[in-house]
Parts: sequence; structure tokens; C-alpha cells
Amino acid sequence: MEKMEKKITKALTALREYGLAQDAKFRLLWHHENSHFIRYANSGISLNTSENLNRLYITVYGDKRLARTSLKMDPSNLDQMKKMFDRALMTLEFTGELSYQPTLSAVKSFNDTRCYDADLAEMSSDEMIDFVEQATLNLETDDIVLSGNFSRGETMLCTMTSLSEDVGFWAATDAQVTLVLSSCKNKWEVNAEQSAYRKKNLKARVLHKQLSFLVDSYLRNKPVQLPLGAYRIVLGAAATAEYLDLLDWLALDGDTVMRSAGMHSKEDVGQRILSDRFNLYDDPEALQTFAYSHDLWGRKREKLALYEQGVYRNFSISQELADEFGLEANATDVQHLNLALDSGDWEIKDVRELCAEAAEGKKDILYIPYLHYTGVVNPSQGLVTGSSRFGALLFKQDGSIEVPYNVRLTNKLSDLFGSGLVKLAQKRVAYNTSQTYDERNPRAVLVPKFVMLDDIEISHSNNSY
Amino acid sequence: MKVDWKKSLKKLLKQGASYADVRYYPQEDSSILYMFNGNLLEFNQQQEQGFGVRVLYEGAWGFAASSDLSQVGRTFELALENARTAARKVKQPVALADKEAVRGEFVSPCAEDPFEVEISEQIATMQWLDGKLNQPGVVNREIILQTNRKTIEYYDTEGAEIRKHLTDIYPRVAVMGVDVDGGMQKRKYMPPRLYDTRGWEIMRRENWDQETERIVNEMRQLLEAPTCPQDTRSVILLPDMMFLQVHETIGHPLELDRILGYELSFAGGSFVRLKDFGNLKYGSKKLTVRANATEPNSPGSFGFDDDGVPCRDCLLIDKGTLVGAISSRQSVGEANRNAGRDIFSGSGGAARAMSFHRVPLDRMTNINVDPGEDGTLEDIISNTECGLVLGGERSWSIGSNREHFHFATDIGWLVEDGVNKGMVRNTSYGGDTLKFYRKLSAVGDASTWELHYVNNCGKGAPSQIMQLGHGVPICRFDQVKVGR
Ligand SMILES: [Zn+2]
Repeated sequence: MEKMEKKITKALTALREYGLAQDAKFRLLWHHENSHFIRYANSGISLNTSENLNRLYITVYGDKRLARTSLKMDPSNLDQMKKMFDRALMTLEFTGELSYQPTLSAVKSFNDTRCYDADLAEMSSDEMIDFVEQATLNLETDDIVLSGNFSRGETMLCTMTSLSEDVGFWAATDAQVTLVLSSCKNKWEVNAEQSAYRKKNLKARVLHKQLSFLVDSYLRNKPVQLPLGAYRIVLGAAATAEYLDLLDWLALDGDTVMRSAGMHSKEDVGQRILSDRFNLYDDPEALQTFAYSHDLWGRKREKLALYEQGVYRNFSISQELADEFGLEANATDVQHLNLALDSGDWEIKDVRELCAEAAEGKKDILYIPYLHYTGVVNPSQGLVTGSSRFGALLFKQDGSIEVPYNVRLTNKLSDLFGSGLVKLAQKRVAYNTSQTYDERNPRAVLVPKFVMLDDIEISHSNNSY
Repeated sequence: MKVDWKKSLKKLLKQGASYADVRYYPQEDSSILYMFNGNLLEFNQQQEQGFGVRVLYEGAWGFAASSDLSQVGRTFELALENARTAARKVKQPVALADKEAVRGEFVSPCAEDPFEVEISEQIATMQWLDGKLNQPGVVNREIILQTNRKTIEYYDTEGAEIRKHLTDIYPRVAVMGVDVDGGMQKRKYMPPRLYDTRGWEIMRRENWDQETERIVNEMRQLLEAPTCPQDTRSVILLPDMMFLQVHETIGHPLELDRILGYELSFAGGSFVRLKDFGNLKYGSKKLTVRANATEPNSPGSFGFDDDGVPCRDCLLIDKGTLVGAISSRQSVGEANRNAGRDIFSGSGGAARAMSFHRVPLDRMTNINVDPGEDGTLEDIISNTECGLVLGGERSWSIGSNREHFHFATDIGWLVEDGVNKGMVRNTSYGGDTLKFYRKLSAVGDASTWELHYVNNCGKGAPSQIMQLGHGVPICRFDQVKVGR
């Protein structure tokens, strides 16, 4: 890491000098990734891939103007970077006047490597394959095949502005393991996942235990098509994280709020929206979420209440959004918020305990670990839809377990986490929500392992997996 | 720096690889311009270069990519190393379907290269569009202009040598307003194919005059329109909704790698099984669908795929019966071997990678529905008893095997006894894929057929997005649940 950090800082410093010589006002952001990805399908390795990429983002500021260029480049090709700098500068005059003045402030130096683990950065292909073998030991058969992936990598961000020689640097390592076992004959599929920023946090036996239980349940029990209606639902970490991701987009992202494209307006701040059990924060100390101690302007980040006891407290305000709408930026110029949902007082450690829970509560429990392909039906209402996947179970009051075909849930977020929210587990886990469409930017959400909701309608019920 | 790619590939063969290919992107340019309420919030020009090398060793794939041309040797070694490690766990060795090793070149048709258009003119066009959209009742205005131009050199160890030069442009405008219940309503316009070329010509002002006016008027009406009823009725999908229906419930389930289980851990599988080809009644007799990568002017046409196979026009569904899939050399080789018969005659030429640093996957090209004989929209409405005309995709959510779906749309019009009874808002519908297509009861004629572009189809892990097309007519489906 140190070697790469030096290389990046040296290149940025040289580019900064080039920019200063032209009397420009600018900000530079370098993104470096070293990614390794092993993909499984049909019980074989279908792909083993490595990517080593460098990206540079240049923002040039003028009088009520800004222009951006970016490139994926050879890190030693300074000439190419200078050309892209020139292009940004050249286009500045054409960009048209904004109705506000974008702020360029000096980055204050910071160096945040709390989520960087050299052991994870150096984990080999062989070690990754060994890990998957342990996690799936004796679970594959002729009918039950393994799919999934083991993604691991390092990400570095380095930033400088024309206003000072200060350097902001952030580095993290991340691993995301997804293992799916599916029946070729019966088409069911179950999964187990793990997210880590340190190698020592990867635990193959935890995955093995989860998979064993689910496979066993699916082998023993006959599938059922659930009747439509209202259910007591327990969400697993993946499903909760998916809903929080949607909430992030529809309620917490300042752009969505200020452009009236989601659930809330600025005036909703201070209003009770959700259940008083619902406490959601942007927490820079939640390291499992690949946390940022500072935002990319070097502003120290503090724990920010988003919803507190169900009351809407804050949404992210980037510097550009603050400039455009006359607001105050709140140190959220980061690649993602460090979302952490407070735990509750529900003492539950393992999915098996839902059996007793159903009997005690005299109510069947539909366990939904994962939501597939969610969509926003109506952004103003926060109405979202998605179908269950990967190992849903129906825990019956009589102690038996049924395996349901997938069902679709179409509900308002304010109902799910409002009147619907019954209790949250004490234990929390990090669920990895990284998007890998382009550059590596590891992200995860810290959520209670189980969240219980009551009276939740299912809007469609499959008659096959 | 000049690199001898063919020499590097040969070295891999000497080291035990059975096959290898390399894609080198000497330069890819793209730009995104985003204007919101008159402010040009995003003006981002991007450039990239790099290469990716794919190696087959003892039936297993290894891949490595770098943006650093000084690392060619190391990256080739790493790809082979990755393949060697992957060979530790091979259940079915990769078998590539045969192909002819072609030497060729493809240049996408483009009358006016968007990268040669002065930036000042691009912005002036956006400002002109913004002026057109800035009308009473409009709360938010959005204009997005994305352009991409890339050159790709492809070489493989079977002797293929291909050079492609692709240019595309994806413009979009939208207006938003607040309805009587305080909800945000939106109308947007993304032009379908207007010419036989795919360049800046699409931005000529005459192409936008009426369409901007139309979406503003429709959005204003939506603000006061009643909400969509909750019942069961026919839906008549306009091309700007039908393209997405086809994309999600014909395109994705017919990707052969999905059918073979290669996407199970993320995107999902398919309800289609190998034994279904030639047998499965996918839809009514009115449904004929093809994957046509030879349309002259769509991002779903690219000359040669990333296996070096020339683009083809493949029949997928013939008068309701499933006959073909979206495929590549690997998926066809494996499907034919697993089925014990030649279901597919050679690769469908649909192996496509998002960028130099991703591997090719089975991808849609232009998944088109043939026009039918049921006339125009007016003709179809006139013989619909109880229906809902739907346009403009708003949200989509689909089952993991693509067996069921739920869509919301921007706009709808109720139809009663053959008459358009006016606009409704917050429209949605859902159903089961096969039941839905088997209830296809009307297919509009060629005058209703439009080719729409998709520039953000997600798939794969690591994830990739892809650009493609859908040529579709107006279609009517019966007994569909709406309004939920
Ligand atoms: Zn897609």
C-alpha cells in the first residue's frame, strides 16, 4: 500500500504543479483498485480474474462554472493526465453559467487506513479456493451444485486541490463471499454470504453451518405455494440491507430529497416517519461498513442521525448540493454513507430459534433472508417491490417448517419500518452491498441479524421456485 | 507503445494454454452531460485505455486486465496463473463451439460523429431543449446526453484479427410535476431509431419539437388524472413499455448462460430448460421474436462479438414456439454437449464484454418482436372491450428465474368498449411470464414498430452494463392484473 500511495501522491503533486502553472482552480481525485474475483457455477470455477486499474477524476472550477474529466490510465503516463487536465480547463468556458457558485475549499490532510488489512490484500487464489471448499464441505452432490463468488480487493482514494499541498488518503481492503447451493432437479436455491475488511474476520465454518441448515430444510420439507395475505415476516440481514439501500436512495440521499424525487422533502426533517424502534445512523466508526473517518474534502465525519426513534433527522448534503440549494454540507462527500441500523433487544442468535419463536408467539413466521431485484413502484410513496429468494422458510406454530416458493412483497417503506416493525435482534452483522458495475468501492450496511415485521402483505405467490 | 499481441498470445499456447484471446482498447471516449432545471450539473468527459486477456487452461478460464501498458507481460502471466488455479476445480471443461477465424473490420454507421460536434453546440442544444421543457406546471426538468466512442482490437489464438469502431449516443429528456395527491409524476422521451445511422443526427431539432411538447402536455394531464383501477383487464403496451417487457421476460430468460446456471449466484436463472427448445409454447401464435444483431443502427449491432464471431440474426421464438437462445461459443458448446444433441448450430454471436477489464458474457443484441397484422393503435383499441394502454417504463422487478414480473409505468389510458376513456396515473401491472405471452391477442403492424435502445442492462459478477436494442410493435395481452 505505501508504495502505491507514494506513486499516486507523486503523480498528483506533479499534475497539481502543472495545473497551478496555468493559474487554474481544481481538485484531483485518484482511484486505485486491485481486484481479484473467483466465480463459481455448476460446481466448478467459471472464472478467475484480476484487475489492476487506476482512475483520475479532475474537476476544474471557474466563475459559476465547473467541468469534469476523468480517465482510466497508465499510472506513469503523466502526459495523458495533463492532456485530460487541459481538456477540462478548455471546456470550462463552454459549460454555461450555473445559478450558484460552486465552492472549492482546500482539502485538509488525512490518512485513513483503518479498514486496510495487508493479509487480506495478499490473499491468494489458492487460499480463496480453500476457503470455499471448507465452507461447502460435503454439501455438493450430483444434484446440488455450487455457484457463487469470492471477491476481494484493495481500494485507494487520494485527493488534492489547487488550494493547498495537503493530501487526503483513504485505503481499504474488502472481501465479499457469496455461496449458493441449488438443486438442479427441484430448482430451489439457498445461499450464505460474508463480508469482511480483515482476513481474520472470514469464517468458513459460519457459512458452512448456515448452508447445512438450509440445505437440510429444503431436502426434508415439501415446497408450498403460500396463500396471499398478511404475514408475520422476519427479514434476514440481506433483505434488511436491501430495504435500507432503497431507503438510502429514496429518503437519505440529498439529491433525491432536494429534487423531490423520493419520499421526503426538506420540511419533513423533524417529523416522525417510522417506528420509534427505528434508529439509523451514518456512523464513521462502523468499520465493517468500510468507513470513512473524513469526507473527501478532509472534513472530520461525526456520527450523523438519519432517523432517531423514527424521527427523520438528516439527509446527506454534499458540497455541490449545499452550493446549489444554499444548505450546509454535512461531511457526506464520501463514496457511500456508513449506514448502521441500531440493534434491538430481541435475543436471537440463529435462524433455528425462529421455530420456538413461532410457537411462543402463536403465529407462523415467514423468514425472508433475501430480496431479489427490487424496484421502486412509486418513489413519492416509498412503495417498493421485490421477490424473496435464497432460502425462505415458513416456521409454523406447531414447530414444523415448510419451504415456500418465492413470494413478492410490494409495500411502503414507511409501513415496513413504521407500523410493521415489531422488534430487532440484539446481534448485528455487516451485509455487503457493493456494486461492482465499474470501479471498486466497497460498501456494507450494519444491520440487526433479524428484523421482525407484522401484518405484511404478500402481493404475488409463485407456484414454482 | 506498440505491443505485439499475437506474439504474447502464442507464448501462452507454448505455456500450456489451449486457447487465449486479447481485447485491446487503444482509446475509449465517453461523455455525460446532465442538465437539471437549466443548470449543467454534470459535464464529464472520460477516456480510457487498457487490455484484457482471457486464457483457457485444462478447461478453465483465467482472465486479467490492466490499464497499464507497461504491464503486458505480467498481465498475460497473471491470466494464465488464474486459469491454472481455476483448473483445480473443473466439473465440466469449457468446450468452445467451432467458428471460422475471421479477419475483419466493423465501423458503426454514423452521419455526424458526436465527438466532432463542438461542446458549445452540444450545450446550446441542451439549453434549447431545456427552454422547450420549461413550461407552467413543470417542477423539474432533466436532460441527459451520453455519448460513447471506442476502438477495439481483438486477436485470438485461432487466428482471428478484428478491429471495431463503435459510436453511440443516448439522449433523454424528462419533465416532472406534483399531482393532486402530492406525488411526483414524470414523463420522459428517449428517441427510438430515427435514421439508419447512430450519431449526432438524432439531436437535430426537428426530431424534438413535437416530442418535448407532447411529454409536457401529458405530464400536465397526469397531475389531475384519476389513479389506475385495481382489476383484471387487457393491457396494450406501447413500444416505449413493450421494449422493457421483452427485455426482462424474453431477453434475459433466453440468455443461454443463464439457462445453464452461470448466473445463479446473482442475476438469477431461467425457467427455460434445454429440453424446452423446439417444444415450449412460449406465447400465442402471434409471437415471433429474434435476436437480430444485424440491424444497421443500434448499439445491439457490433459487427463481431467478443469471441470473434460475426453478428447474426437468430430466430428465438417462432409463432409462439421456443426455438433459439442468445448464445456464445462457450454456452453453445456446453448446451449441445449436455443435451447430447445439436440444439444450436454454432454460436449466436452474442458474447459481449462491457469494457477491456471485464470478460464477455451471453448478452442481448437486438431482441425484436416481428410486427403483426392487427393494424394500428386505433385499430387495436377499437376491438378491446376492457383495457389499459400503457407507456413509459417507471419501475421493474422480476422473479429470479424470470417466471413472473411486476412493472409500473409513467402513463396509462383506460379503454372501455373500444373507446379511449382518458388518462390514468400510477399505473402498474404484473403476471406470470408464460401465461402472459400465451394471452398475446393483438400485434400491431409495421407502422407501430419502433427500435428502442437500452444503455444500462446489468448482468454478471463482477457486474457489467451493456447497450442493446429492442424493435417492438404495439402489443395487447388479455386478462392481466393491473393497478397493484
Ligand atoms: Zn437487462
